Amino acid sequence: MTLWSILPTELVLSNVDSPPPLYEEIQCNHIKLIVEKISPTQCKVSRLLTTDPQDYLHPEIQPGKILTYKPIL
Amino acid sequence: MLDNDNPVVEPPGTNPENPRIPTEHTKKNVTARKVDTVDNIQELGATEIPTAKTNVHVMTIIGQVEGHMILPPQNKTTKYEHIMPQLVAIEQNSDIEGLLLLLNTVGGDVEAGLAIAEMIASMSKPSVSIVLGGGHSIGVPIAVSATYSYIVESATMTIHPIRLTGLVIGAPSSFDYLEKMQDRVNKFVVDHSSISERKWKELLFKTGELSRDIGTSVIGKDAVSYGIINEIGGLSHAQMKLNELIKIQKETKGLKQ
Repeated sequence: MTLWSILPTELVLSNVDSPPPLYEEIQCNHIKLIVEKISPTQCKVSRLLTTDPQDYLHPEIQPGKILTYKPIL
Repeated sequence: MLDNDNPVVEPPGTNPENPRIPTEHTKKNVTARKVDTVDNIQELGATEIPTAKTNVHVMTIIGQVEGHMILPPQNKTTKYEHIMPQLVAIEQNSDIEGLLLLLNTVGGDVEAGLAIAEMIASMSKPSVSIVLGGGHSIGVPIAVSATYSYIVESATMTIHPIRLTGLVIGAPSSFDYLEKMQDRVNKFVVDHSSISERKWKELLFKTGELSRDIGTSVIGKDAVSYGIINEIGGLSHAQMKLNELIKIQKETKGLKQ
């Protein structure tokens, strides 16, 4: 890996040894998402696993959005 | 139904440390499609809100190509098991007419990479690849597997021999195994691009180019002049080419029937 940045390397790699985030795959309205678990009931969208470019335009599943798990009745 | 009448701008409070406004909007995100449909019927009188359909699907190959081994989570990976079913779905869905492949990969699992490349190469629908940033090692076969390939001028592709990093090769059969694996990659690249085998091997075993390995770092224009990649170009070129290929495909299909 080559890093070219005005930030010092130690700053960029400062958390390299910290435990990595817990990722999990979920299905949301037929779109597969990779989410980062932030609490037992909440997760943050990290990536979309879809090839349909229009899926990337949904405002509610933009990467970084917080989703709340809800039981389906 | 909507708390926020501008769906693009999200209200504040989506920060996990500062959930000031736990809005309804965020709460109903992970729900079954059924609920959405009910909402749509109530609010709009329609079962499904029409969305723009595209005939071209896009696939990104970024970071490490991941196959048999799960890499540590700080690695950004493109997983075999994610890509393969998507390719099958693209091939089967009659609404999809073409595939755009975006590559920015550092390489990865040879067998997973070759599998992805073979899948793309054997698709009946036209595909166009764009190498952006870097398309190194196993990224080369994936780039050439598309019907037509583009590279942006600033992108580079590192061509170097396959090796087992950090392992000591203990038996002559291991050498043979690696050599066979290399031959598979060589054959694929030579078959799917216009580079000659002699030139490819010359790039592969060149010394003095890379500081810690043998091989060559091929930059945009050179990749085109060596015949690995078809043309220099970016998104608009790729989209135009794909439309052209789709048109040709439709015409030839029409003639056959």
